[in-house]
This record gives sequence, C-alpha cells and structure tokens, in this order.
Amino acid sequence: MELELGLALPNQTPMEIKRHIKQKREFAEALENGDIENKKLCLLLWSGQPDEEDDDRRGSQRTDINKRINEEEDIIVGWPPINSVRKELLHHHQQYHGGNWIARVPGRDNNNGARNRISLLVKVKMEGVAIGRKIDLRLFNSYQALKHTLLHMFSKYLKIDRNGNEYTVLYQDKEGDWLLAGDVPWETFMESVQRMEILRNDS
Amino acid sequence: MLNYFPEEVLEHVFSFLTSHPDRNAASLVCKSWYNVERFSRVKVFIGNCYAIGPERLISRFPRVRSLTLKGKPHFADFNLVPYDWGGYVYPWIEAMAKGSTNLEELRLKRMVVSDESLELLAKSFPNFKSLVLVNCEGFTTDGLAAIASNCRFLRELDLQENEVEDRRGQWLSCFPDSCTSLSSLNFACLKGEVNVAALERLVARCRNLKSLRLNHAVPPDALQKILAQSPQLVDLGAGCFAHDPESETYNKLKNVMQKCSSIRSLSGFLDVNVRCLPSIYPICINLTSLNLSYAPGIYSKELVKLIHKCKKLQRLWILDTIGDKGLGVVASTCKELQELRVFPSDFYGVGNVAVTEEGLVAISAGCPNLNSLLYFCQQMTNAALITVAKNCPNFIRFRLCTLNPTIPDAVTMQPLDEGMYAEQLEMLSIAFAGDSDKGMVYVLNGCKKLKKLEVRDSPFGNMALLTDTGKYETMRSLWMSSCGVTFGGCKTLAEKMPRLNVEIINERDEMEGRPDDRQKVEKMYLYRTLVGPRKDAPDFVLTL
Repeated sequence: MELELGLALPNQTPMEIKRHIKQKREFAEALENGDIENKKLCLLLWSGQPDEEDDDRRGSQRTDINKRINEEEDIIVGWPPINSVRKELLHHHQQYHGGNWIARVPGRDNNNGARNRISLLVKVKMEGVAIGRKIDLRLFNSYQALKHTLLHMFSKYLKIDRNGNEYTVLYQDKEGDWLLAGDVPWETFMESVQRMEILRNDS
Repeated sequence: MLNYFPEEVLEHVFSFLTSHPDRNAASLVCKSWYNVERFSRVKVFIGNCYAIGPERLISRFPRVRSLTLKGKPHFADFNLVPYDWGGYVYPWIEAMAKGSTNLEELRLKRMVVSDESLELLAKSFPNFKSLVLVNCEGFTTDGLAAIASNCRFLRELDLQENEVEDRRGQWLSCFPDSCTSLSSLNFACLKGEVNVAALERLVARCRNLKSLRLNHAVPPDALQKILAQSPQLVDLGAGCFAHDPESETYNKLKNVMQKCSSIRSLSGFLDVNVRCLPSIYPICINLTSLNLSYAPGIYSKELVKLIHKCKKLQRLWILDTIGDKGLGVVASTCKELQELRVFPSDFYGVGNVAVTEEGLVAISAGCPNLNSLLYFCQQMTNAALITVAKNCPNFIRFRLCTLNPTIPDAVTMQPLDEGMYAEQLEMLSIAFAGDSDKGMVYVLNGCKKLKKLEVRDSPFGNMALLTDTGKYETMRSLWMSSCGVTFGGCKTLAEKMPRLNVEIINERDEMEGRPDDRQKVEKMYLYRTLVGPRKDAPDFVLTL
C-alpha cells in the first residue's frame, strides 16, 4: 500500500511579496540530544521574500535558500502545488465572479495550439499601494479578466470600487512607452508588455 | 518438500499472483521460479521509464500484454521540470512492435506521447484494447484519430489531464460503425469540439459503455440524448451542465436522469448553471464517488445541498469553497467516506472562503474510515493533526498543504509519527521545510519503505545527500531543487554509486563548461537504473 506524505510549508501565493520572517521553531532544542532518531522534525516557517521597494534583507535570519530570489524573479515557481489545468480553470472562472451564470471555460478563446508553458510574469504597481505585485499574464486571455483580477488583488490594500470604473490600467511596451491597456488586440499586448500600472481616474 | 514441481503447476499457481511486488518476490526465489514467472507475466509495471530499457523488458517478459510506464518526476505537475526533459514513449512502442509483442493495454503517466507513437501503436498491435494517458503531452487529436480508426477491439480510451493539441479534425468520427466494444471513453481534458452526432451514434451502439466523461464542448442538449441511449452508465463526467432551466431540453434531462440508476460516479461540471443541479438529486443517493473539484461555479450553498443527499459517498473531491461548515455537513452525512481531496480555489488571495483545521477535524470525527487525504487549507495546528490521527487510524495516503503564512504554530512531524505509520511511508514531498541536514537524514533513516522523495526549497546540503548513499538504490528516485547541494556533492555521489543516474538540470545557460564544485545545483534528479545514462537527455541535462 502506498503511503504518500506531503507536508508543505505555509507560504505566500506566488504573487505576494510580504516580508514576514517567522520565528524558527526550536529545532535545535528538539535535537539537543544529538539524537537523529528523535521524532520531532520541525518545519521551518519560511515566507520571507524581498519587498520590491526595499533591498534590505535581514540577513541573519535568512538562509541560503533565499539566494536564488533576485530582483527579477522574486516569485515561487510551482506554488501552490496544483496542476496548470486547475490554475487555468480558476482564473477563467474569476472573470465572472458573482455574475453571469455562463462561466467562461478555458480553451474556447485560446488559439488551440499547444498550451504555452512559459509564463509571462510582469510587475504591476497600483497608485497608492507601496508594494508591487507580479502576475502571470499567460493565464489570461482578455483585458477584462486581467483587470478584474488585478483589482481584486489590490483590493486588500485599498478600498476599490469593484466595478473598477475609477481605475485605468496602463502598460509599458518594449519601446518604453506607456500605453492604455485595451487599445490593441490582446495578442499584440502580450507580445509587447513589459510592466503595468494602475492609476486612479481622478489623479 | 518437492524438489521437482512441474512448471505448468507453478505457472498455474503464479496466475493467482496479480500484484507486482508479489510477482517480483516470487521471481527471486530460485532460477526455476524466475523462469516460470517471467514467461507467465502478463502485466508489467515500470515506475521510472529510465530504470530499464525496452529491449530488456521484452527479452525478460516476452508474453507481456499490459504495460504501465511512468516518465517525468512528480514535480513536473507544478512546472518544475523543463519541457524537453524527456520521458518519450516512442522507443517503447517501437521495440514492442519490432518484438511482435501482443500488446493489449498501455498506461502512461507523465510521458511525452507523439502522434507518431500513437499511429505506430494503433497499427502494430491488432488486439490492442486499452489506452490510458495521464498527465501526458505531445500529441494532437490526429493521434487520437489513428487510435479510433485502427484499434478494432478498443475497449478503453481514457485521457486524464493531458495537454492535447486540437487539430479540429473529426477524431471521434473515426470510430468505425463496426466499433461496438467501448466500455470506457474519457475525453474531458480535450479543449476542442467533437462531432456530436458521431458521439451520439457511438454511444448508442456501444452497449457495454460503462464510463463516459465528456468535455465542456459537448452542448447541453446532447447530454440528455446521450444519457437516454446509455442508462447503463456507471460513471459519468458531465462537461457542460449549463442548461436553461426553463427549457424543454432541461425537462428531458430531468426525466432521463431519473432512469440512470446505475451511476455511481459523477464528475466534471466545468460549465454549470446551479439551477440545474436538482436534476441530479435522484442519483445522489447511489453515488460512491463525486468529483466537483473542476466546478468553481458551484458555491458552498449548492454544494452542501447536493452532498446532503450523497449518503453513500466513499470518495469526494471538492474545492475549498465548501468551507469548514460544509465539511461539517460532509462529516455528518458521508459516513462511509474513505478519500477526501480539498483543492484551493483562490491563490491570488482575493477571496474569503477557505478551510482550516476545523473542517479536517470534523471530517475525521465523522468519517472514521478515512484513509486517503489531500487537503489545502489556510492553517493547521499540531493539536488538530493529533486529533485527526487518533480518529482515523487507517491512513495510507496523506497530503497536507497550508497556504497562509500566518499560522499560529509550527507543524511538526510528531503527530504523524504517532498516528500515521511513518515507517510505511513510500512517498514524501518536502517544501520549504527543515532547518539543517539532519532533517533529511532523519527522513532517509526513518522511512524504511521510502520509494520517492522530492524536496524543494529546503536547506539540505551535501551532508544530507551523502550520508547514506546506499539508500538511493532501494528507492525509485530522489528530486532536490533549490536546496543546498553543490555540484561537487553530486559528483561525489555519482562516482560512488555507478548504478544511479544523477542528473543536473539547468535551464538557464549559466554554466559555461563545467561548473565549479562549490556551485549550488538548482535541480537534481537521481534514480536507480540498469541501463546507465540515458541517450535522449537534452542539452540542459547533465548526467554525472
């Protein structure tokens, strides 16, 4: 009989960049006798990730595993551990959160070619929010879905009118110009977007 | 004790040995048993396709009719393994075709399956009956068309969570009119449309059809026609369940559903109008398996109403939208529950509903037969786990994943040792865990039956890796990524253990020439093998 045991650590979603550094559990004390047979294997709560604005890493509490996290890639690949079919389904569903009963289904609007496995991660900043986020654009296929999810993401930090009518989404293209998201076809947008920003309309 | 035992008698005795471990054990007794066993083995299971080569398989088991192969490491499910890493099935099919194997069944998991492989498969084995592909990729609907066209005695075509390119052909129409043998057809993972008329005709003429799982593209009115033709179904996957409740179609569906009293297993609902759910209430009482984990459209209230009617449920897969209260309903309704999987519905952190340790404790109290668990939750505590272990002493599969970083207390392995047979552990996944090498050493020492260990983002280094190198020959594989092992450590291991393939996987072109021994290895995958380094490894894989 197969016994599978998977203990996973609490961690932020890939997009979150909080700077919580939790206390390490007293693993040392559990092994004080130097006895490897001791049955207490403690799991380190590790959820520290660098804040985009702040390079100050509290070095003493960080272990080497943080080294691979750099400015460009402060993201956890493959977390949480669910397969891409599920991830995609949930993203598409969130487009119609609480609305129309015909939920959009993955695949109908995509070019039906092989699913692109390379994620397209871009940084997103929201006016008035200190912490930027990162999002994988490959999981979306429309501006509406993207805007909807972005506003939800940031609604933790600011009170946001759920319709999102008061916000404008901009993106920076390959040439460095800032453009209005929605003006060009989605595919064109996907080919040139480098980063994004959300502004309030009355600013 | 008989010294002479006729081989025919031995063979007959062995025919009662169906499990692979039993067969493997029997073959080790003596030469005579080895020979009788190998000529009588019909089903072969290969947990790692690179542990042995196809030619050796065929020469040892010339009468094999059913083959199960697994390819990529488990973490490939979460995008941790690069696309071209390997796991190709073609060489196996080619070798069996050349060796005139009488292949009837092929089950593949996490392998790369090309259309050419499927075409060769379809044309080489006249008695081919069953194709099961799980988490595979590399093929298109053209490959499926080849299977449908050529496999005259096909009984089972089961596609689970594969990445299939849709070529907008008519693969389903390729089943000839003479095909009446299908008992299981699952194409829920396909994205494109199928010819609905052909599907309806196929279902009508396959009187043995027991399991049918449709994709989302099969329109609502087709479902009721299909069910009308196949009231004998035992397992149904409804893709699109978004009818207009006022329509005539929905009315027909309700009537037809009442006649489907054989359905024991229900899944799908990728597209759903919750106002149509009452149409399945009549069959709920008979259900033993319910999978709504792909149905984010069904919220907690409707979920609970549905589950309330499913008193005989043994297996339940749902999203965490059910909430702790909903799990309480499960606990009080589904007394025969054995397997529970609760998947996360929201990982961008935008929603509210989730499950905590409360829900799990409630389940354990109400469902003492629980033996298999996958639970994504916002938080968990030691105390809760100890309670769960005490309530449910029969766990054979246990996976827990906490999503929220602010849990109040750290989780230790202690409750699991107390209740959950760590010594029986065959597979273990560790992520973001541990404090030093001692943790991994503890696991390798304590889990005597460990077959697969996968570790990511944990500070285990060379000391842990090299402490008990002999252990790795008793295991199928070890994966370590974003840990502390260095290139030098891996080299040392590879030199010491020639019967292991130690693969260094490096996607980014960081290394020019051989990397420094002190450099940390991003991804390492090692496995025991009888055939040395594989010849199909891509550029970014270095086998030491």
